[in-house]
Amino acid sequence: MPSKKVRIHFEGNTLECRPGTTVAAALWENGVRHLSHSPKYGRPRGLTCARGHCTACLMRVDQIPNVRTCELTVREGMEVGRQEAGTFYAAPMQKILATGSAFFPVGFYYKWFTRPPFLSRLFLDGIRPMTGVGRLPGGGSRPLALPPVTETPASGAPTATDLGRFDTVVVGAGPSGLHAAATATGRVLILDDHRLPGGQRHGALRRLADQPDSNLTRFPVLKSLLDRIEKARNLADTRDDLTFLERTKAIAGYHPDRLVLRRDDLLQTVQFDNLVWAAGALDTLGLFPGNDTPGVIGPRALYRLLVRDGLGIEGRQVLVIGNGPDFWLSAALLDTTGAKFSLVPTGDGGGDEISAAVDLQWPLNTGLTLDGISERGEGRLQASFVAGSPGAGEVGTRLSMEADLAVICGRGKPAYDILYQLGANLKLQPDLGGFTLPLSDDPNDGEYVAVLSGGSRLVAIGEACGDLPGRHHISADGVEKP
Amino acid sequence: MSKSKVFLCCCEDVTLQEFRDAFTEGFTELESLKRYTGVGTGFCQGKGCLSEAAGELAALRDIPPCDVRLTNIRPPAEPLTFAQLATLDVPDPLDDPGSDT
Repeated sequence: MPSKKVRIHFEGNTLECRPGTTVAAALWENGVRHLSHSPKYGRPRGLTCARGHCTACLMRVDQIPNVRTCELTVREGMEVGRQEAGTFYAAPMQKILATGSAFFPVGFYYKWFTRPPFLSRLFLDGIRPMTGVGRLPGGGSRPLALPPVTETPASGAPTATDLGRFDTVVVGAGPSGLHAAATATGRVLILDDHRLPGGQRHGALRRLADQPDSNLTRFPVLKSLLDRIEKARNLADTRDDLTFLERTKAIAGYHPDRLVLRRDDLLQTVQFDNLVWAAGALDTLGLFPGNDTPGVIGPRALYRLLVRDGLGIEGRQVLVIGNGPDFWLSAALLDTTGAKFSLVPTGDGGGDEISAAVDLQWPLNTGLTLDGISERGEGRLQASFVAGSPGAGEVGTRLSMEADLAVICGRGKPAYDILYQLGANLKLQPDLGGFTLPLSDDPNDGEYVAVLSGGSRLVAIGEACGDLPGRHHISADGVEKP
Repeated sequence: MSKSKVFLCCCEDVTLQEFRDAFTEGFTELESLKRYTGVGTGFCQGKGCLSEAAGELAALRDIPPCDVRLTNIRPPAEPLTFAQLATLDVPDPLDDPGSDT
């Protein structure tokens, strides 16, 4: 169904975009891979998280600075531009500071530098352009042409609403969250930042299932993932007293029992007796040289770009590196798009999946370790690898591969910030992917639970406590075990 | 291969090397490292880097990861406009017993 193209203006050019896609995805398709530049080193940044978390896609849209373009839908006539960081000053100033740092005490804070006044002014004038992301149109001294501020909100303007108190609030409608919501007692509210319940992988898995001669049957790990999601959805469907809030995020927690939720411009508050934290995990790209290169993304970003935004990547080259269910879901999803993809499985395991990939004649490169990713011209990635098992006393051979996107798959890190804000004591648990609630002291439950001083109870389940995707072995009341 | 930088915090452009240097200079808590290097102070407020930074700190100090103290994380978890904030009626965050720094 070819519908009319939407035209946006980008730095003097008019670009044609598919209606309904996001600005960041539309720019990528039009060959604009650098969306911003980093504040200190002026490095190019491009598509990264695709969920409104990071800094990489912040651009100026219709004169408003710092707009997250990965979550903004294209509109006819939209004016989009990059906000250039003060790179002109940054490089020489950094050299000066690096040389001069020997004369400053450790922990020097620039505001302590007050005497002599003329030197202080010179110093501040020098370092100020190093901060921020550039100047506003018109030199920055002129006010922006923004709508006038009125004291009372215009009629129809959203005001925060209070949803009242629920026995259980479930954050995240993936398989774990849905299962918890379906089995919890009393008034239950469940929210998710997607339009439909099912979690971060549901759209991707559904697309696979809808393919003729679907690859789902060849990858039992993906089939069981979809089965678990569908089962949890059906279970939740049997309850007609569940309140589901779509496209809603929990953006703040106030001790001990209050959450602030956001959907677009609308803020809502809600109170709870039990909070089931099933917010899933965030992409972890890992620490390797060039891990900030535009086009290095995680699997969750890939699902959003392909399923939500419909990113056109036919004929593009994509490298998929890593292991786990997300590695194979990324590969199977890319197989439906017409992209040219190469797989670099790392780590142990995945033997069954590897033989399935061999049967499908997918390009496989085994026994490689990622050494770094760099950019060759705008938007072309070059990933270099070391062959052989490192540490065996031999220097492995190096080889490199080019691509438009590199998807790094591995264990995600649990989302945790709201739990902390509510007053939970979080522990770093690397085997669970990052910070999450500690395992309960009570041997009876074996859960990731915190009871706050105000009496409210927090439970982390699913990927939010480092579980592997789709294994909802803990229900809201902690009864169900594997 | 390349001499390309390893980025710990992409919002504030803090490299892994800068974080290690700051540790060598005597900043041994995540909170002071955050203040000194800027790690976790950007737009994402640490979503992208605090777990990694804490893991690196545990390795540098050679302590169990669960002993690394997390820095204070304040609401909201993502940037809001003043117009959005103005619609909200929430308790004074200064009364929040969860805050200790």
